[in-house]
Amino acid sequence: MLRVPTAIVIDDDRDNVELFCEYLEIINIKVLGCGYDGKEAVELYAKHKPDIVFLDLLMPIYDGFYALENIRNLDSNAYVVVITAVVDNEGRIKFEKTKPDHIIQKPFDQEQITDVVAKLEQKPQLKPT
Amino acid sequence: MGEYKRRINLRKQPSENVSEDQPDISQNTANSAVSSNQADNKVVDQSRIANIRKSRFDDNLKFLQGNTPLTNQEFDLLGNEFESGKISKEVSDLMYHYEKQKMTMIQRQIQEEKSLVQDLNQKIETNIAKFVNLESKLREKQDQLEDEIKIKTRRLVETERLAAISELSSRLAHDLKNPLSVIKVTLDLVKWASKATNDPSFLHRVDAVNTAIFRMTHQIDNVMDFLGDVALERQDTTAHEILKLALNKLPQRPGQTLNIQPQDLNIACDKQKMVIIFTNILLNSMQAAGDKGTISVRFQQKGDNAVIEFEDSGSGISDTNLQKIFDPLFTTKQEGTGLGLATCKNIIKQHGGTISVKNNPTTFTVTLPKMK
Repeated sequence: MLRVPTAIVIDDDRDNVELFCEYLEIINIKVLGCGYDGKEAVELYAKHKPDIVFLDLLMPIYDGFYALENIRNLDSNAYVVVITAVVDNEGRIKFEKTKPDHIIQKPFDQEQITDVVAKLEQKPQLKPT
Repeated sequence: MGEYKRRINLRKQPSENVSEDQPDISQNTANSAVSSNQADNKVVDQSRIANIRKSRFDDNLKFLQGNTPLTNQEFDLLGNEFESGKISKEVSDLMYHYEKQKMTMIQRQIQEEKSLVQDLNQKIETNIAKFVNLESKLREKQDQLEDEIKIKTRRLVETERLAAISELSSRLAHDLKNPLSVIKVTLDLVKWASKATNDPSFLHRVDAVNTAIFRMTHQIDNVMDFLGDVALERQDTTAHEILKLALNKLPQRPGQTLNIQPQDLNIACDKQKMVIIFTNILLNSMQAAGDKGTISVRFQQKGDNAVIEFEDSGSGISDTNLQKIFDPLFTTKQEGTGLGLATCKNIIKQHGGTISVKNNPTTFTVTLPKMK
């Protein structure tokens, strides 16, 4: 894959979003948009069709589970990486239905991010640019 | 008496007849009474005996009143016998035998009734014993049920309390890890942006912050893992895959040597939970081995079990600590929660496996049975 991978970032913690976007740009990932709840995540996905969705789970009103389900409804092949502080029992049960491609626990290392980006290339049926 | 003497006078040798006839009656009566008693075991009909006696007496009288006259001598003899009390003695003997017979029968009946009463008493006693036995069994069952209720109530209260603690810590973990993540990302950004990446003191400070972040994260995870009593989610994975995920969570120690068996092993288990086990054991090994230490991880299939061994070059564990090493809240480290190995034991138990530890060299052995 020659082109730079694209991504959207969704987290209700604005500091996290701002810093993470900067972080992604440095490790050579183009951030197409940022959102702060699950509803915005779905809208951003519909609008940008990014290669990767970096999604927080626990957000007020429209959470990450809502986003994951609705993004997959839009595109069953969407590459969704959940970045979360905690996966509790409820989360485990909800993931039974719609599994994210990866789950990264906060706080994370740079290697974990580059790893999931590298795995994007292994995923079959990459979307056309 | 005069009338009687006159009538008796008609019979010759009456003494023989009277003296032989009277005991005969008594014997016959007694015999018939005994035989009837023996035959059907019933009380002898008193009126029947009276009738027999009366008819014999009448016969005798008729005989005496017959045409044969008694001589005076005979009459006197008979009169003398009567007056000497011989006849009355014979009558009283007859009465005595009869009464004796009656007494025997009554005694026999009493005996029978006694044995019946005994039988009845025995039955009553048996039944009472049965009731007592049943009652004690009922009481036992009641106690058992009451105990069960107590245990279940306690368990319910504990579960509820644990659920509350679990929810609280889950929220706490979430609220701590988010800012920790901000710190970590910022630290990485600062590190990348800095022009002083070659400055050892700068790198040392970055490492110190990273270590602090790791310690906080690990402690939060420890508590969460210990409280998280989630059902197993079994899947096929491999030892290498679990090791990789575990090592991602652990800080790197450049001075240490980590030997991982090149040949991989398929393991069916709860992958996320197995990562918790590997992380905890490896962290212990790394801390024990010291800066220049060596850690070896081996795995093999032994029958139906997957056996994983973690060996480190550390100085080992004291005998007293060896006993307590898997107890919750037991720790020898200032920064430890004492929950790491306790959690490992819980998770391995959930898998139906075992964990053990030995010295020389310090080796933790995890055995996992094949999953169905």
